[in-house]
Order: sequence, then structure tokens, then C-alpha cells
Amino acid sequence: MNIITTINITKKYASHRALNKLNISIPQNTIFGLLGPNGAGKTSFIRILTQIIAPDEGEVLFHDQKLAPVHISQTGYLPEERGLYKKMKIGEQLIYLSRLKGLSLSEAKPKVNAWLEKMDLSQWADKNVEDLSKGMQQKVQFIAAVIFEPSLVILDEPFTGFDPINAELVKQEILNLKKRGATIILSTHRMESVEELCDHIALIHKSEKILDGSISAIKHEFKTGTYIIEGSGKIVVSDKIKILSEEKLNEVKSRYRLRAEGIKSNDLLHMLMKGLEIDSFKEEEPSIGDIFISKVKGMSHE
Amino acid sequence: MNKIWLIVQREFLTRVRKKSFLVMTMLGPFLFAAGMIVPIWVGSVSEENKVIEVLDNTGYFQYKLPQTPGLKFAYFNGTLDQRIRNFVMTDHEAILHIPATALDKPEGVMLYSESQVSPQMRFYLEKILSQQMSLEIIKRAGLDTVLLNSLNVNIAIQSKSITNEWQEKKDETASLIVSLFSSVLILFFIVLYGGQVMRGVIEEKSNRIIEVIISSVKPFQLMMGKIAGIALVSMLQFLLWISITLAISYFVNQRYGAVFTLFSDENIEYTLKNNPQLDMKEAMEINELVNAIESIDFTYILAVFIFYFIVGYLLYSAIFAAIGSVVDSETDTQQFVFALIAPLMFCMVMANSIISDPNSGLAYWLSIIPFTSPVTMMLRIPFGVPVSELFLSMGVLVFSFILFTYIASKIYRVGILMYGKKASLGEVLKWLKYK
Repeated sequence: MNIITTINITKKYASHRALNKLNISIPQNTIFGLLGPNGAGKTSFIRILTQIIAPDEGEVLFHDQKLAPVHISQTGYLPEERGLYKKMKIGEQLIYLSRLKGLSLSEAKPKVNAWLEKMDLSQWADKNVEDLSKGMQQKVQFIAAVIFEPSLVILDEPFTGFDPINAELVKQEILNLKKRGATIILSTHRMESVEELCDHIALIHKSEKILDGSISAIKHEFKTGTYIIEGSGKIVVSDKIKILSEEKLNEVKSRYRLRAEGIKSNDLLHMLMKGLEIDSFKEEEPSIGDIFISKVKGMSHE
Repeated sequence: MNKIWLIVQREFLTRVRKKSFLVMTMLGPFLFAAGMIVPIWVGSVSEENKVIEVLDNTGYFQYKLPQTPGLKFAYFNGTLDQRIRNFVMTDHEAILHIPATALDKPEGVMLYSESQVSPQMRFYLEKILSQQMSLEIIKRAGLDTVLLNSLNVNIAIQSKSITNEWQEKKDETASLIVSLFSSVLILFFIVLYGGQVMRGVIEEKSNRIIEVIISSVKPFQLMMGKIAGIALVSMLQFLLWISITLAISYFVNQRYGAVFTLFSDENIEYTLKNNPQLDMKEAMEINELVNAIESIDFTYILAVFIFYFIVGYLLYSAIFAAIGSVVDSETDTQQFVFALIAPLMFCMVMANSIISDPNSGLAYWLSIIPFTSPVTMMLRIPFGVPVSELFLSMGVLVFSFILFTYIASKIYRVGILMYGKKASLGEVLKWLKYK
């Protein structure tokens, strides 16, 4: 079941095309990584989902309904360009923002208190935003995006400006949101967060989707047949097996990095066992960062 | 709708809670009051404790000239040359020389002074001298005092408008005051509160909260909520100013006597009889002004004022909002704001000729064009404007308000998301076509 399905959405601005016939499906209750170089069209895509702008062509489905104003109260959004009213108390501000999302005053108050407690901000509730540190403001903004329990949460670079402790706090909250049943769209350039959190990704480049799918499927697809093997003995080199590097661990043991194209790992294991006493055998997985770079560079060279 | 109301509340409350609102609210009426009181006060201060030397060669006026709290008379004998020589050593205001021939031929009365005497003082002296002289002349002619008193007939013709079919004939001073005051007030409110709308938009844009808000509400709702919220602030301010001004004038009235009631129709005769030092002409002039003020239909003017105030503000603040959305900081707004308020300023520059001929072609067109009509109409309305013209002007204003709000909201919703780049006019026009 997909929470979001876009069908051929296109968005043009005066001077350029931000999105070109984009088809993206976002499965429900996943953390979906939205990746792409700067200016690829991610922000336009997100703004279409949050109904800030409308596509020129194409259609967006929320579950199976056409995207409509009713879905605004189910969509939480933490924009990349974000801020708060500087001269407003953070408690009041959170109540205001959650009421704009459709909560009543009596619903909003206890939620605001609970979240401030959870994010370690209770004693700041009556302070103006300008009295808070940047990290605290970021936490307030995060609360504003999720306080009304939306089924879809869109987070654009949620970790910038956080120290490691607060980044971890936010990471845990993102995982909690997923546990609760929400779907999270995570747009970020921090590949380690993508590796850690995302189930699915889509890669947008030059207004077009160039890659999407589950992380495991993508990693499988981009396997290069590179293995890391530790052991003692000799490796039988053939035209199918190339040693990329060798590193002596002690007198007898070495760590090899080798590429074996077109050979299944079990077969490779069999072949190696003939000359090598194997201590460990691991297939090297491509990182999302590597895939990102190779895909985007590959496109640019075309 | 519910969301617009939330925005209205926020915009209203954050502004009303500010100290600057309180300061403006308290200051405004005092400035109004000061504007009216200070000139009078300054005038009265300069008249204070002045002494005029009287050299009366007729011997008749000795100790007969009525003094006022600010003006005393010192009577001397001797020659004029002596007095003039001694005069420099005193701080007396002037020497009033009444030659012996004055009673036969009312010429040759002279006032000697170092510096120019104020016209008010000269008038006062002329008045009391002629009063005293005529009394004396009448007495010498052998008329008795009973007959004399019966001569004192007052005919006070008072004007009141009958119906609207008749061109109202009244003292124009009151209309002039109402006209200028209300048009300046409209100009002031539009520039001040329209500017607040613009600053509010820039604030949300530079705070970067805008994107969070418009992921919850439509940009149009945010814009209208802001405009309406600030409109409420301005109306509250206006009401407070009116109430405080009324309170101040009530207090002043209580404290310093019912000066103006002395000159109402009911009391004018009484006033004239019991305040012999008041010149009848002067009293009648004040009476006319009081009557003119009473004959102005304030409810009608207030209704027209509120209409032009609200719709004019709405028209301008929509454009102010669009300007705020296009720029990144307030410093970039100057040329736009200047272009926007230039029509209003033009009306004030033209105020003189509009007032002197409220039905001229210029006045007519300026009160039809929506950008000038709020100020121009307020300039014209106390002098009477045909109803059909008024409705035409109102209709054009409402239509333009709807049209410009539509255009402004299209610019606004694109502009608020543009950070860090300056949009050219051509680009802005393209925004109108965005979905």
C-alpha cells in the first residue's frame, strides 16, 4: 500500500523545469529517503506534496484519493528553510502551529506540554524564541512538524544544526514515528542517516527520477562483486577473479580485496577454498553514497 | 475560515500586546489635543502680565479702561516726551497716548512701543476705547441711561440647514477642519497599517516560518488573516484615540468651564449680556462656528470615513503585502513604497485646490480613481458630494480592492517562497500565471 503515488508530475518555472514526468511511489509506514543533488527538484516535489504549490501536469494520490486540502492536516512538514516567530513564546507558538493543523486548543495544550517534556524544553515554554539556542529552536521546529500526529511526515534536512546528542534524540523520535505507523519522507544529504534510517529511497537528478526502490534491492542491484577475504594460503587467480589489493596481517595471514564478476558467492567460495584457509569472507556492499555519486556522475557524463 | 480566524487572532494579539501600541495609543490623542491647545496657549502666554502706560490728555479715561488678567493699565500724567524717555527703563509693553482732542475727533490716538504689539492687543485696545468713547459721546448728547440701555439691541441671525435640497450655506471653517482632519487620518492609517502588513510579511519571510505556515493554510488565507488582524488593531487604535480624546476634552471642559456652551444658540444672548467685555461680533463668530460644527452631519461623515478607511486600507495593504513578499528585507522596499503612496501624497499636495473647488474636474477624477479616492473623498465630503458620485467612487474602490487583492495574492504566494534573489518586474508578472 502506497501512501503517496505521483503520476507523471511536471512542474515548470519561468526559466526552467523543476520536475519532469515524475513517477514516485512511497510505501506506507516506511522511512523514505529522497535524495538528489542541489537543485534537482526535491524541494519542488516536497512543496507539491505539502500543497504549497500545484503541479502543472500529472496527479498526486494520497492513499488512493486525489491530493486535496483535507490531507493537509495529515501531513507534517519540516522545511529546510525553517524558522519561528522570534518574539513569540515557544509554548504559545506550538499551540498556534498545531491549531493551524486542525487541533483544538484543549487538544493542543497537553500535547505541547508532553512534547516539550520529551524534548527537554519544559523550562523554556514561556521564553521567546529569540532567547533559545539554535539547537533548541530546531527541536521546537521538529515538534511543530509532528505534534498533531500526521500520517505523513516530511523532514527536509532534519539533522542540520544539532549536536550528536540531539541528533540522536531526533533520530529516535523519527523511529518512534515509524513505530506509531507514520510514513516519513527524509530529504537529506547525509548519507549515513539514509543508511541508518531509510527503507526506501528515490534519487532525483535534473528534474527526473533516476533511481528508486528499497535500499536492499538497490544495494543488490549495484553490487560490483567485490569481496573482502581474510585467510592464509594462496589465491588462485583466473580471468574471472582479480585481486584489487592485498594487505599482510601477519606472517601467514593476509586480507584480500578482490573482484569476481559473474560468479555466485558460493562458487567463489569453492574456488578460493582450493588454495586458501579462509578466516572470513564478506561481500562488500556498495554504500548509498557511492551509488549516489556513480549514478549522478554517470548521468552528467552522458 | 476557522484557520483565518486563528491567524487574525495571532496578528491582532501580538501587535496589541506590544509596548509601541500602548505608546501610540496614549500619545495620539495628546498630540491631537496639543495641536489644538498649544497655539492658543502660546498666544495667551505672550499676553500675560503686560502693562500699558496710559497718557490720557482728555482726563476722561482715567481708571475707566477695563483690565484683563493679562493686561494692566498704568495711568500717568505729564508730557509724551517725558514718558517716552522713561519708557526704556521699564518693562512696559507700550504707551497709549490719548490726545485731548480725542473725544471730539477720534483720531490721533497713538500706541508707542519698542517692539511690534500683537494685533489682538491692538484690536482689544481699539474696542475698549471706542466703547468708552461712544458712551461718553452719548452721555454728552444728553441721552439718559435708560434710553441708552434700550439702544442695546442685538439681532443675531443664525443659519441652519433646512433640507438637503437646499445647498447648505454654512461657515466653511468647520467643514475645512473636518475635511483636512479626516483625510490626514485616512492617509495616516493607510500608510502606517499598510506598512505594518508589509513588515509582517517580510518578518515571516526572513524568519523562514512562512513555509511551515503555508503548509498548514493557503497563502491567501495567511495574507487575508494578516490584513484583517492588522485592520482590527487599527480600528481598536482609532476607537481608543476617539475615546481618549473625548475623555480629555470632557475633562478640559469640566475644568476650564463650559467655554463653548457660552456660544450655543440657547446661551448666546445671555453670554452677550453678561460678558460685556466680549465683543458682539466676536461672540457671533464663535457662535457661527459652533453652529456650523453642529450642522455637519457627523454620523454621515463618520460612515463615509469608515467605509473609505476600511476599503482603502484593504486595497493598499493587499499591495503592501505583495511588495513585502517580493523583497528580502525592508531596505529593498523603499522605491516600491514610494511609488505606492505617491498617489496619496499627491492628494494632500492637491488638498488646497480640491477644498477650494470641491466639484472641479480634478477633484472629481481624484475621488473616482481608487488609489486617490479615500483621501480625496474625505477632503470633499464635508462640503457635500452628490450621492451618485459617492456610490460610483465606492463601487470603483470595492471593485479595485477585489481585483488587486486577487493579483496581489498571486504575487504573494510565489514571492514568499523566493529567498535571496531579487525578482524583476517581468518575472513577477509571470508569477501571475503559476499554478
